[in-house]
Amino acid sequence: MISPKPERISAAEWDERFHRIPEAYRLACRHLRSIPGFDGNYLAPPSWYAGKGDRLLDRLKFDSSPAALRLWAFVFSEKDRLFGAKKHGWNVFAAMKDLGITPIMTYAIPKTVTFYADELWWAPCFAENPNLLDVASGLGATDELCYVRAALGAMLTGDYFPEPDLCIAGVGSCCDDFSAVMQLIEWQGFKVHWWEMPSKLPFPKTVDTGLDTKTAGGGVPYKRQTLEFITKELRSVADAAGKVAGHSIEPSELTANIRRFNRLRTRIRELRDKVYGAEHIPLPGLEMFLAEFNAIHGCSDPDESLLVLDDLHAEVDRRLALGQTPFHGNPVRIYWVTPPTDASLITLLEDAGGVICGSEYLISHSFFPLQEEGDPYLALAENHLDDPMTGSCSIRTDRIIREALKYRAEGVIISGIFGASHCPFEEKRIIDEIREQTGLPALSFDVPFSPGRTSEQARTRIEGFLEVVRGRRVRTDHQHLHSEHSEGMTMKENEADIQTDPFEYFANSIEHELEFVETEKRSGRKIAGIYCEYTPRELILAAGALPVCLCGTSNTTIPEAEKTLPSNLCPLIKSSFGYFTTGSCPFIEMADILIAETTCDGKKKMYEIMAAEKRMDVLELTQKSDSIEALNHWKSEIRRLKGVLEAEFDVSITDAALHDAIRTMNEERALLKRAFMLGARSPSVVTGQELAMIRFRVAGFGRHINMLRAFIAEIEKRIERHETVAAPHAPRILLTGCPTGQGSEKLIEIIEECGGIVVCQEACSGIKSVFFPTESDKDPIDAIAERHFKLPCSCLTPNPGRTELIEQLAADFRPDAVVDLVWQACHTYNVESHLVGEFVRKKLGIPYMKIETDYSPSDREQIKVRIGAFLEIAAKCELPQETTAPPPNPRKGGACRCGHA
Amino acid sequence: MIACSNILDSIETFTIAERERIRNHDLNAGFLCMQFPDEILAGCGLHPIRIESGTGPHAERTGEHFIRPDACPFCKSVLGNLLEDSFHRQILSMLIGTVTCDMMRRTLDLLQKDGGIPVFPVHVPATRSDNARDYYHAEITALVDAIVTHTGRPFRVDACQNHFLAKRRCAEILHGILARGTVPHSITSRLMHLFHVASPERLGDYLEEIRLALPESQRRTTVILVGSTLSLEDSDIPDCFERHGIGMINLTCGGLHSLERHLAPVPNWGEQDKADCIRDCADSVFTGPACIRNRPNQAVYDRIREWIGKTGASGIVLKALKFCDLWFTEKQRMRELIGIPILVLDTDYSDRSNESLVNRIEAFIEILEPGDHP
Repeated sequence: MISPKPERISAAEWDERFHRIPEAYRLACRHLRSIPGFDGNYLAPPSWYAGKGDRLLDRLKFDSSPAALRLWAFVFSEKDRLFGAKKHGWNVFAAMKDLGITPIMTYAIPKTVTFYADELWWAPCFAENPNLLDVASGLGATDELCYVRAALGAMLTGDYFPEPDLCIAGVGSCCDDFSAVMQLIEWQGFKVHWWEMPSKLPFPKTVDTGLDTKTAGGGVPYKRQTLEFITKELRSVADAAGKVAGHSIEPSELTANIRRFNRLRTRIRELRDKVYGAEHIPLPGLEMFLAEFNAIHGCSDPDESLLVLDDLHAEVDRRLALGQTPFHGNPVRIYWVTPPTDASLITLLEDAGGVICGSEYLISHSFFPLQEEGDPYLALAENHLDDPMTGSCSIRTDRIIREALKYRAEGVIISGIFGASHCPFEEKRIIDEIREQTGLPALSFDVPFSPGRTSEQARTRIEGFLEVVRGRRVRTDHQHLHSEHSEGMTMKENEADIQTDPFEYFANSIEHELEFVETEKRSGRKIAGIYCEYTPRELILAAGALPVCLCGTSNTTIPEAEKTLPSNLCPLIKSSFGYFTTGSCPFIEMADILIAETTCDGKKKMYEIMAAEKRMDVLELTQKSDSIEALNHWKSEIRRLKGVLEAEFDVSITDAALHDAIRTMNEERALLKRAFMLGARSPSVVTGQELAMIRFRVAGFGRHINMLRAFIAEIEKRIERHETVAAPHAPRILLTGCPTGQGSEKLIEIIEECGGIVVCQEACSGIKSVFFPTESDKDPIDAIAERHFKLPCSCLTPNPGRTELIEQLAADFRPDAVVDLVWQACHTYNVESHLVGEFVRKKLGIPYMKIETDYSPSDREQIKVRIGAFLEIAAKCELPQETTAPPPNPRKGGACRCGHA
Repeated sequence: MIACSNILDSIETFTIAERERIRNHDLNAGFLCMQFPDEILAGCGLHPIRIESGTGPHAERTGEHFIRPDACPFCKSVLGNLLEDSFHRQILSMLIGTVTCDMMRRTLDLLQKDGGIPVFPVHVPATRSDNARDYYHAEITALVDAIVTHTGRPFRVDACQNHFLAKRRCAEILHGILARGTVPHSITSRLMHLFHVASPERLGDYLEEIRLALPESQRRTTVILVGSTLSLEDSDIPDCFERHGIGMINLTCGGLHSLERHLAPVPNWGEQDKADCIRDCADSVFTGPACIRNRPNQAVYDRIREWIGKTGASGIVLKALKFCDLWFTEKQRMRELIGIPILVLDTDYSDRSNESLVNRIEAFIEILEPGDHP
């Protein structure tokens, strides 16, 4: 038997190596051995099974051992077993939802195969084909349901399994998605036996005296009456299956089958401990997931499943003895909760330097051994009580935390399933508990269906998460050094800065800013909180104080704000006010003064309420952009603010200090502008989401400037490496309108999730506020006032500066379309959108769309549909035959003529 | 005697008085689903209150602090209400957690962890076997024992029976009012709210007065509303039909569905012991109207057909709350099994999509009343 050096290899590489597998070994890989004359050899390279329909196999990486190949081939030949068994007159049962219980009963019937229809959730991703989902949709099982609806499609197409003699459906306290699918399956004429899975939620502890018994496997407390009820339900399942097969299951047959499945479960449990517990993980993640799934039904041939697992054990033992692993270096250990529907994400994780050191999903009860003595139905019922689907999420969370710690995970990833009814409730809770109890970083995301390619969104998140975990390693190392050599602190911190990944830094920039502001505050420096770009940071810096832009971009504080403010107010105002009233923004708490302006009505009146509790100065922003009198009054307001700051902070603001501050801010804004201008490159080298991160709250913070330079350097490295971040023809979007910030970037995310790329963010949270410098060769107050008066916000009237800026940006960034973000109840931007839309369509000749929304994520899917359609329009626009519309779009050769808008 | 023009004011006055009584009641128990015999709570000395109000954008958004947004709006509202200082939070001594759908079970799990109100879960079987019936009896019996231990008050058979009978009287009157299909939703929704929260002993006489005050009217077209529960505040769809002069039969569990259990023949109450009484109460639910979550759920379709026959309804509105898989997945099956036009609406409690909702309803009305456009 060959024992190659452990590697992760592609399907093509397996094609080349397959001939090296000895003939004897190939012939030993036989399924359904008890059917005489059944052509049972199944060992074939992954590409062979890819050719039969599971095309994703061509994009995965596999362990290089024959044992692993045997596992893959065994799993992917299941449909051959099912059709083969049916052809030879065997009974075919479709078990549903209990995930590990029913097959133990049905396999007690001779000449029987049992599969789980639930497992079809992987089929569309492996086939890279939505056909099963489309068939299900035609019957009402649309994409509000998770991918288990593919089971309905498979029932009708007959491509994956023959018509079952009986479907055995567990319902009640389990997954509604599957319950709904099963109901449609019955509607289509398939024979279904329903059985009830009861809830395990307990009464309050003060009165619940019936929970003194716990399951032997998972230690789950239960009521005796629940156990007895399940026992009867399982008897009804055995009776129904026996009736169909014409064979009454004897208790002795059932006990024998429990022993058979216990052997299988024990092998899988042992394998998990060996592999996940090893210092150098000896087997890749996908092989482990496939092995684990064997626990629920032996992949329609429990005897062969045992032999497959024996082979894997032998290979793992050999590698552990030799200290061999298919991974390089020191990979990041990840505990993965709910393996993704798209298996390529595991290959992606491992390619990016991660390794799977544990998994948890809703089959974990099938790893526990069953009682072999006494009433076999009681043993099965007790095992069913360990099912994590039917109980409290805390049972599941405890298991995850226990195993993540046991297997020394450095991070936890939870991949959610679109439409699954349990994911919205469980993910957040599991993540919160992991962070609280273990301090481990945790990532959760829903896996999109992206046939033929790995989702860029998922790729970014996984790669980013691995960077975060690696960053923690660096920090931990530095903390260790710091504790040993405290005198070398400054140098090591600088080193840490040099090593810090700028993307990770900006993703968590608020922590660094908070630390900085707290330090400055402790040292006696005054803090001035500001809200809007019209407040001149230069004046505050010249007064020796620190300008901090205050929080107002989170959805979480809005409910609190709505107790005081009307709900039909823009979310930015409500969020700001919520932070103020709840005291949840530490910057507000630290601020010695808040400085604001008369921009819109909502803000003005909010400031009046806030002024009752906090020192506040409101600048009167004159709003007629073409009036010299308005500008002069604005200048007088800036001078007044200078006096206010001098009095408040007991300082004198000199011209020299103002010139210094102008220089500082000009440099800062120039650097930001340089970063934003990177978006102009085509093909794109930086995403809108990355650019959205780099705006910061605290001006004049040296570390930020350093990290901004590092950010630019990283992007420039991408240019050198010819790396791009979007598909070559991804529609380029110029985003205009209301500002965004951390917590309110959903539109940018959606555009990029839908395949577009936000090349430019025109808003005051983007390039608008850094586009023009402050003139340095005139009276500093005049220069500051004039520079800020030029900001083309919709609160000015008229506001030609905005369309002028958009025109300039369109020339620089060559967008295919413009999206105008309007926060709900922001009247100025909402009304102005009419003028902007006309300008974009007629003058620029490209498509325009207004999106009116708030900070809540609840309309994400609606917006996604609109953006998806809009991007298609943007992508289809072609060169007009005659146009005078500037500026031309070099990427497509000109502006749009299709009339779409 | 209530004047026809003052009905809404009168209901408002009655409701305020009832809410005040509830505030002053020492033990109130909330429950969430019609598939629960609330009379057993009365037998335990508690005032039962079905939680079918308090929904809205604010509660829904508050619920999103605890779970992701892609969850059932009703569950989010329940979380939002019970995890912050709402009316329900202030008045409830305990919550009976009827374990029905996946999302509700997980909502209860969260409330048990973070809620501050004792939650007593009861599994409501989806199947209708004898074993399931016995188990439901056992669940209700265990619940009564737990409540008695918790409150220290004994279970009184007479209190349970009296509550059942008083509620039956209310249900009979309300059923007559709702089955007309012509009484404005603004009235029926408030009366149903009272049915769910008020003392049935006081409510019976009051409903009689209302019934007499209601004018008779005719509608040229009637639709049947089925789907997820219709909370007190969730009135956009019925209001829209009403504005266009369309009659509506509300078959949801916020409407006729929640009344029908009480209309079945009264069990042989007589001299019962506690066990018999609890068994009868549990049975009246178990054998009551089927819910879409039942497996199999053919009985739901039979009932819709029966109401089409009774009312001559010309259209069905299937109103599913967003992410309610159990109802929304039935849309195609319903189109094929029910032979009249169906409008499928997928809604939440925000007011963002009101205009598109109105557009769709108006288009539907045009189908039902061609040439007679509203």
